[in-house]
Amino acid sequence: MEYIRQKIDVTNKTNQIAYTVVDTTGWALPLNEHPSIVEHPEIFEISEDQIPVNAQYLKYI
Amino acid sequence: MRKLILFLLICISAKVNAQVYQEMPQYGYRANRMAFDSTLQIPTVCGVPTIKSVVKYTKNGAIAYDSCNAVFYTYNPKTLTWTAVSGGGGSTDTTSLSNRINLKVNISDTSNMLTKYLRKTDTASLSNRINLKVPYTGATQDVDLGAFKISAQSFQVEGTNGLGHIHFKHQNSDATATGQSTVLYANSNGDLKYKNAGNYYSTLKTQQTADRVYTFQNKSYTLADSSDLSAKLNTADTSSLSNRINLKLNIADTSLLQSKSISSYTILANNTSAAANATAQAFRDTSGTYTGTITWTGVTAPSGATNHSYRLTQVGKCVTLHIALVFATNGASLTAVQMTLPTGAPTPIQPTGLTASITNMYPVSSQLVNSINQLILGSASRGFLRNNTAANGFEIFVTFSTAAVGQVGVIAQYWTN
Repeated sequence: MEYIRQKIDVTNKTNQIAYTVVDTTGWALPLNEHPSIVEHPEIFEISEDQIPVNAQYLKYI
Repeated sequence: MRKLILFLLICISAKVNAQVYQEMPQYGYRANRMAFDSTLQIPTVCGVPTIKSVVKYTKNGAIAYDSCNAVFYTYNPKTLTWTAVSGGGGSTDTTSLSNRINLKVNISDTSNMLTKYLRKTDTASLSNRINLKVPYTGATQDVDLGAFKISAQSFQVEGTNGLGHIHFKHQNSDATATGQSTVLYANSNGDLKYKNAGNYYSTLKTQQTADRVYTFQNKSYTLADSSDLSAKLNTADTSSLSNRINLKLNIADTSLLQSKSISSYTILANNTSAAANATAQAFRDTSGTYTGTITWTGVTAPSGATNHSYRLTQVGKCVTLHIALVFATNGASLTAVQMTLPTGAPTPIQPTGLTASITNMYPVSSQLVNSINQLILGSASRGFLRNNTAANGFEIFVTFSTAAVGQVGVIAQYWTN
């Protein structure tokens, strides 16, 4: 399932590296139209990777 | 007339022929109460018969059969009596049987009768061999066991009129009361005494009611019991030892101190207004890596390597919790952060009226710093421990003016059951 995440260094993706998932609860449009992607594509990206259990979340405003 | 006479003669002749003796009928001659046939049938009565005829009843005998009782009677004209005929039954031969039995050999006579037929050539040997056995009772001579021992659970010498004794000999050639010989015996009081070779009587020990331990004290071979030995024991310190033991704590009292193992996460305390035994209260002090769920509000969450931690201390019902969120890289334009309680944190008591979704319950203290942790951000932060959105859990919510947060420190204090 696709979701939006804050870009990270994929080569250093361990449990000790913060993994931020954008909270898109209630967003009915395509994810690429989400403000986080639209406004800061340099920070966020759409991913289909499995979300780690220790992920933190961001309510983008 | 002549014809008449002839006729009469003929008739007379015919008449005379009628009186000629005739042969008896085929089945015998019958007289009153008697019949002669293939058998002789005699007068038959029921009960003892009687003489009804008076003819020669004092001269002639008579017989009759009592069919009611199956008895044959004879009549004696001399005595004028009827007698039942007896004899010929089972009892008639008893004398004969007895005589025949008397002619037999009595069983008591067989041993005498058979003695001369017994083989007696080995009886002396048998007797000697029997004499060599240890008599079970009633011995009539000495029992010589040689160098063999008597092995038994108890050994009892039971004499008569004070003659019971044990005789110890140094060697077989020693006579009683001579040489190296000693007799050990008990007198009428139960005192243990001995008589040595010099016929010297001495009391080893008087009779005791309690069990004693006897031992030789010295070369005089005088036996002494434990009471005699008590004087030889060093008892000088027994009183001191006893007193010192009395000062020690009995093992049965340790439970009263309740100082042994207690349940996990408990502390002993007295939560009453009066002196009382301590009771178990909740206590825990745990820490570790914080792995709860963090949710930021803003544009960019802090990122990079993390070093989150927590520590909680519970004393009774009061819980103090510290959470440190540490990131390597500052976030941007953040205005709030919320975090769930660490795993294992006690469940907060919801104050009255503060049970609904996202209702704030307990205020928290929070500070924001940058990722290097050398700069306390100027943004004022405020926070509460509150119910979560679904009202099925709890979270710490901290809000602040827009800041680039790298680290967050939160201290929350709340109460639990």
